[in-house]
Amino acid sequence: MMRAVAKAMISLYPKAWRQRYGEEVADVIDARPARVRTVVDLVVGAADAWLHHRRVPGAGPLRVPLATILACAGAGLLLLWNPGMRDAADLASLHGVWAEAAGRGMLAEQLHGLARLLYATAAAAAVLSVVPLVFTCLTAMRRSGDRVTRITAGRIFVTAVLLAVPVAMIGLGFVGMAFLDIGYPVGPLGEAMVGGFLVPIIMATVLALPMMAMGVPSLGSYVRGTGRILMGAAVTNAAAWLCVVVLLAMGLEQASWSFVGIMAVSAFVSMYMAALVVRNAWGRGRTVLDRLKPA
Amino acid sequence: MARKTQELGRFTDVALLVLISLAEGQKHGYRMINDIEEFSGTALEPGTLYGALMRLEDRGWIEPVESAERRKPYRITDGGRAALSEQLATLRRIEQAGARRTGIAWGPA
Repeated sequence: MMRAVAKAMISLYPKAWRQRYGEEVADVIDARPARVRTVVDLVVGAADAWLHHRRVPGAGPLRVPLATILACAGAGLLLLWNPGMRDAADLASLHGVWAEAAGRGMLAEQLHGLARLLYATAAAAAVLSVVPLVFTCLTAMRRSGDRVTRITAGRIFVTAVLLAVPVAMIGLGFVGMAFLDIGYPVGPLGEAMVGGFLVPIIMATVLALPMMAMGVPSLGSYVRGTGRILMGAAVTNAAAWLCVVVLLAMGLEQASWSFVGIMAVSAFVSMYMAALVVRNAWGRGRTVLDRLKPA
Repeated sequence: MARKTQELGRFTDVALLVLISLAEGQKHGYRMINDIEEFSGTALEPGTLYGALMRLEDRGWIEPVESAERRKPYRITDGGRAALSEQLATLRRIEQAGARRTGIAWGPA
């Protein structure tokens, strides 16, 4: 039992370390009595190997998986919205900034409407970006002569169906808060900016599909097409944030420093996450198409 | 030598034991653990041993020996031998200073 636990601890080490020493360590564990201190020693060793990753012979630069970065950024955005923006940064700023900006004329109303429209466009573009790929997969899983293409297309289609649920829930949340006045009362400024917290999460969720498709050359052009539309969504998301920033500037006198700080961090994380999604979708599409070119 | 081994951190002592073990010939991990336990009484666990091997290999003081077997042997390099000699000389000076100050007289080994 303890031996199995000790061997399982090898999986905690960085990949390069496991490739270099994994088998040897497994052999030593097999050959010696395994105790609790063996397990603890391996856990400490794993932490040390991560901390000194560059010392592992043959180790490349340490890369955090894209999914982990996007998951952390997405969770960060949700926390920045609630409790960050809604509670910690005080609602008085959220309402005060809007009142101040609205007092300066019609521009505030126009920016409010424009920001919501841009976020809605970005969210819709993100969802629509994978529609051609999903429909192609639906056809390919039935008709493709290539077994790998059929299997991959089937997996992409099933994943798309599964992802439709969380994407629909996030989308409904966005529409409810931004347009239907559902949920916690965040005022017009909250309505104008809520999309910036949700659109990058929708983009990151749909990215799973082109990532899966990159192994099939015949889907390369669809992967590239998805990347192109996601780029449009990212630019639209940035433009919407610009509207929100102008609104903030118009009512800055009523904003607390914590409110401004959380808003600045939120805008950065939102745009960074969207850019990361585009970079990967675009890059993967180019890689697949490059493979199709004659050498 | 002290400067050279400083970066080994908590692995300094273990690295010395490994170098001494490999000084008499190439060994794989399991044999190293047994040998070190035999001559020093220190029972190393695999996480500690391979943490030290990683550092020693990184410094070029030991190197793996090509082997088709699952158990990969390691051997000490010339650089490792020189580092070991320096460290043993340092320990010798420390031992002499300690013996002189405490009045302990070691008999022949």
